[in-house]
Amino acid sequence: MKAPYIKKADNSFLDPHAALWNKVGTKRFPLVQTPIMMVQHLSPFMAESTDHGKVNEIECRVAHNGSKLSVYLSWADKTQNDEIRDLDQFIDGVAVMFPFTDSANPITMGDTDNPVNIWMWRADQQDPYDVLAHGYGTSKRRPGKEFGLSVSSVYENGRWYVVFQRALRKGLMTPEQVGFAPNKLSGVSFAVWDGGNNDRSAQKSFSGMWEPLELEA
Amino acid sequence: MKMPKNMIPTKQQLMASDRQVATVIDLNKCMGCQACVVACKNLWTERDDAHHMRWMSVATAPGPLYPRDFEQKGGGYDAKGKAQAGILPTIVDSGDAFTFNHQEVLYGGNSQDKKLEPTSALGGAPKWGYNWEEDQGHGDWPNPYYFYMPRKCNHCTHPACVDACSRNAIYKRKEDGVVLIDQEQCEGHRHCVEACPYKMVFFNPVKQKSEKCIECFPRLDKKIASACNRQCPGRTRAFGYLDDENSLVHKLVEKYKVAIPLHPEYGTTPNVYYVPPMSPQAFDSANELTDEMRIPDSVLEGYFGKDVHRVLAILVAEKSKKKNGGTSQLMDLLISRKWQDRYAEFINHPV
Repeated sequence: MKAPYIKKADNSFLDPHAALWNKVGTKRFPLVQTPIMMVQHLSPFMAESTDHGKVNEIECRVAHNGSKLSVYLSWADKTQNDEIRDLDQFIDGVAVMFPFTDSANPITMGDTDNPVNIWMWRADQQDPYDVLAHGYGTSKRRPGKEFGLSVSSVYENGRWYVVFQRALRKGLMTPEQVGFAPNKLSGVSFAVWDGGNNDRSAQKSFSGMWEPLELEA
Repeated sequence: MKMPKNMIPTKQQLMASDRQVATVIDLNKCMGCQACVVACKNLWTERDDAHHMRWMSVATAPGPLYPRDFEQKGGGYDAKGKAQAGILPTIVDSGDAFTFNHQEVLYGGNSQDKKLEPTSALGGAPKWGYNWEEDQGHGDWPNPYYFYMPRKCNHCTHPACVDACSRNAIYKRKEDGVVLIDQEQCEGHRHCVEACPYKMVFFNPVKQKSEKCIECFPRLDKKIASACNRQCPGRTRAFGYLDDENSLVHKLVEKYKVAIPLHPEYGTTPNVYYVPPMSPQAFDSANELTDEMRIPDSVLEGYFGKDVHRVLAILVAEKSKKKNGGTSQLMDLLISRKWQDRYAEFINHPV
């Protein structure tokens, strides 16, 4: 997937309705149910799940303006779950994952030596999370705001539209964020939680392997 | 940015403890006064985000108990040790958190017309609530029966909640086996709530984290018994280390073997033990007292397993010794005249 350079891809790009988004090519990725038996050691109870991860496709557009990377995501979800009113309810969400190293495995969310960086949005919260993970069960959520990550979302006609935006270069305060640069090849992977389907934690849809991501100069 | 390998604990490490504290509750003496429930609530869950939680509860058995129908909500393990899927209680199952029109009734100037009415946390009239079936029980006249079922976290030796947490946020304290949820690590996914067959983990929808009985561990650290245990006016409670041979819990659980867990078949090895209730004698069709017990064997077996028959035989025999002018060490222990005898080393006063 290529992220074109668009000079005007600034803060206005945070709006999923921004007209310029229509000039960016859309890529569709199939999503599948996570192979939950792989985390049986972390939760044999969670591994009993058979119904999770029913969202089967995500649309993605990416663009940058030399200083900021914007990631536009959209997927079909019949139920808008953006509030927990009862104890058995769950929240819609989406996440984009980037590797720190060439060896990071997206299926395991990295490992001890090969961490991953995740941008995570939840429908009930204004601010996204910037997540650092070293493999299953190790994810550390940090407030996106403190890590220079912004998000906006719209639910319309049975679809979620979410845009993440962050500076290409990692924040000054921490090395625990991936950096991006034109002509440097990276990878990206996606996950979607459907709250109406009780999706949470590893019970989600995901895209599996890394999709190559290249920022055009 | 490499993560040290030892930062990911194994379930075995999380479940390990050097010693285990336990609670014994004598159901022959529980009168359903709810003093334990109030003691707990005042200390830990008298918060706007936790009104629906009763870490300590007392409900009438037989009945749906608390949370409602928890016995039908799955979790725990089967006989082969395989994890069983569970379902989440709703806020209504959890006893709801009513609000009342106090303002309107007391200060609205129309006290003759307005009645005090509860409103459900979900809005509208309540559909169910804590102690909804109070003292309803089972059985037909002239042999109705019920008993009280006080329940709290069992601080299991093999806790399904620890096993279930994909964040490894739940662990047993090394020194006493108390099961705690690390509130920093918890992300509110509720796998623990599904997994606990006793449904004694509660979701906090405001904080979006799960919470449960902490066995008043800050009190334990000062050798003060947990509040529910200490507050019981019915002398039903014993608390202490299971391996402390001088403790009443050890004597009742290990020595006399008259305190047994609720639903041992759930496979988690719980550490709240119950002295099962000897029921009143039943009347026959001519309204004459018989030697039959009013609570059917099958009902008690349903709660405590087949072992309950052995325990009841001991209790009946020991009680009859005492009744006939003899002595019974076991009955003296169960009468428990001094409160200090019930809580082993945990007899400091709360300050």
